[in-house]
Amino acid sequence: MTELLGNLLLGLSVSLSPDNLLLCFGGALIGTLIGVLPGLGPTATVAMLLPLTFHLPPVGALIMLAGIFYGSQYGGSATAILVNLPGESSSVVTCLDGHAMARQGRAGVALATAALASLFAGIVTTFLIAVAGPPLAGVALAFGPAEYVSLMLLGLIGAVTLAHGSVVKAIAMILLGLLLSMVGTDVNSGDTRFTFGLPQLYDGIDFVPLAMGLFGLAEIIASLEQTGGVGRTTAPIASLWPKREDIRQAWPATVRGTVMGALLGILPGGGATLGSFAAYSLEKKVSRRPERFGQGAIEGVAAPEAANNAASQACFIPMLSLGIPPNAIMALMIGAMTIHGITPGPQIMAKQPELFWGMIASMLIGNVILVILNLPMIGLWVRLLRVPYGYLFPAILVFCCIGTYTLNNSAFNVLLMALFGVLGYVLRKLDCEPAPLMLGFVLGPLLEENLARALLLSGGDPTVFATRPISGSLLVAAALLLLLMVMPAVRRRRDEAFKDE
Amino acid sequence: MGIPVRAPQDLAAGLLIAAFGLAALWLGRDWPTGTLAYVQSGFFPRMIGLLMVLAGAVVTGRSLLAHGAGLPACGWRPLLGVTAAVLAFAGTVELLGLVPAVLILVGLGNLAGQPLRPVPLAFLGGTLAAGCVALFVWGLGLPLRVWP
Repeated sequence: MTELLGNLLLGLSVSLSPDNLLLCFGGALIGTLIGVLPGLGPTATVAMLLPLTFHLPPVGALIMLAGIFYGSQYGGSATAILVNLPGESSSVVTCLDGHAMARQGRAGVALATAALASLFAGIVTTFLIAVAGPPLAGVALAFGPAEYVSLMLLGLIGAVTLAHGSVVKAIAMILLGLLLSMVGTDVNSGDTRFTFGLPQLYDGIDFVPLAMGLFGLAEIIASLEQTGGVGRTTAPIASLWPKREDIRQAWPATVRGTVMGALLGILPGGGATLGSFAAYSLEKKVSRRPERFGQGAIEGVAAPEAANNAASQACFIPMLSLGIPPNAIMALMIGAMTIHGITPGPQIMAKQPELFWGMIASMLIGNVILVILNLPMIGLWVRLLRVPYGYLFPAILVFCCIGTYTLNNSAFNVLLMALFGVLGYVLRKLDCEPAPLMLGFVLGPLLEENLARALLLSGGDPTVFATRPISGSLLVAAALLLLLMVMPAVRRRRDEAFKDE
Repeated sequence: MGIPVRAPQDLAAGLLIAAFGLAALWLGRDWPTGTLAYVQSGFFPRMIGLLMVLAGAVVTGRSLLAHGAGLPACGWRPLLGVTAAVLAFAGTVELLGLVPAVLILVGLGNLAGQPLRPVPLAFLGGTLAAGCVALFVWGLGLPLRVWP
């Protein structure tokens, strides 16, 4: 307990330094700014804004990225409530009751509920990360290469569970990501693979053009196609403050949503989407008058928003302590850490405590900043929503191009980004999700290295993955997960949960 | 008698996936795989390539058996506009410098959506170019060429 307090104090001393406080504020502000734009979810926002952090010190960069991440998530909720347009799958449920409340003239109350529920969930989950991170990292230290391979497989299969649509397609996307991760010089043999003789590819594909192309450019193209570049009309905002009756209804829902979100967020492959859907259906089940849901029930805003925020923060636990990203956004964070020369994993807590605890404490601060930033400034975001997309998207394009170019002054990277933009758009049209691809790309080198090492250590015996106890149980868990997914009953439920998308 | 295609979208996806797998296998045909105890550079690509061909075959096969979505229409205008704008930026930023590259990017990108009228467009391009110079060159001190 005292150790926990000491760690948090260390973290606070890092994150409360004027520089880092400013970066946290800036990240949350810019994240909200971009996240509020319809069609741009957190993954796209983080991918686009990565370049802003290249020239910062590592701690500052991570604090800012975390700020951008939850800022964009909040921005997405505001869009969902005011315009009934979910920026990404996890705010789909917020649309249902949030926009219904907005139509009844209670948009302000819905926004305030979303912000306060997220704040509560954020604070609780931050403490959870601080408590659960170190023991988990201790477990991870006992991991050998075989365990890492099995854990990564579990994570990848978990990610497939959440991809809506075809399981086989999601697996194929992971495989494509693994293939892309092999481009470049093989570390062990020095052979060049998939480089087509281009010296620019000898170091492999950079993570930034891939992420920006797949998520940024492809999203811009898709939303241009849908809207043709026109602005949106938004619901008006009257009073922000919830009534006593609202608070009485929203409070227990917030707590339940937080617990649900945090639990589902730790699971490999779990994340904000699953959390918010599960919390919403739980509320509907426990409610005495379930028919109110969809008509503007405040619990239908509070619970998914709390779950959404709790889950997206709980995702940091496997990312930071095991070095295994549970979803595409955490894969982006790992990519960003690699750019700064940080290897996420169990050693990070022992070797770089300021970095680890600074980032965690910054989540506390970031959540508070978000509420301060959003409640009084909501009018500003509303005005931003009315700016025609025709003005916005060229600005976003310029930012993507310069960001990719300045990564290492390479026009080749901009070219790659354009190619991946086209690929991302085509995959979207074929109902193949880019998120598993990103996970495969980030985990690829790690998976290959550990696979080779485990086989080397066992003298070429592939049963080593099944016979070592931890590795074996992880594989069993992965197999169970896959089995559950293929079972038609679960399949049907999963489709039902995602049918609003 | 032709083979009935029940899910054109899946058929295209399956063929694309299988094509990626086959390409990987073909490109890596000469790389040594080594043994299980000592895997070499060709092992992993071949494994993934095979799995991809398999996954592609499953998706393709299913498209012939189960009904599914048709091929969605392609938004050629945004796709070509955005891609052309980004490629133009890649081609001009080193040759001509930042300001012309941004102006060309905005000009071409404008064609991807509902085009703005000349005056707002010039205003947007000018503001963005100036903003980028201020932020990236003066603010962050990045070594970018500004003018030709």
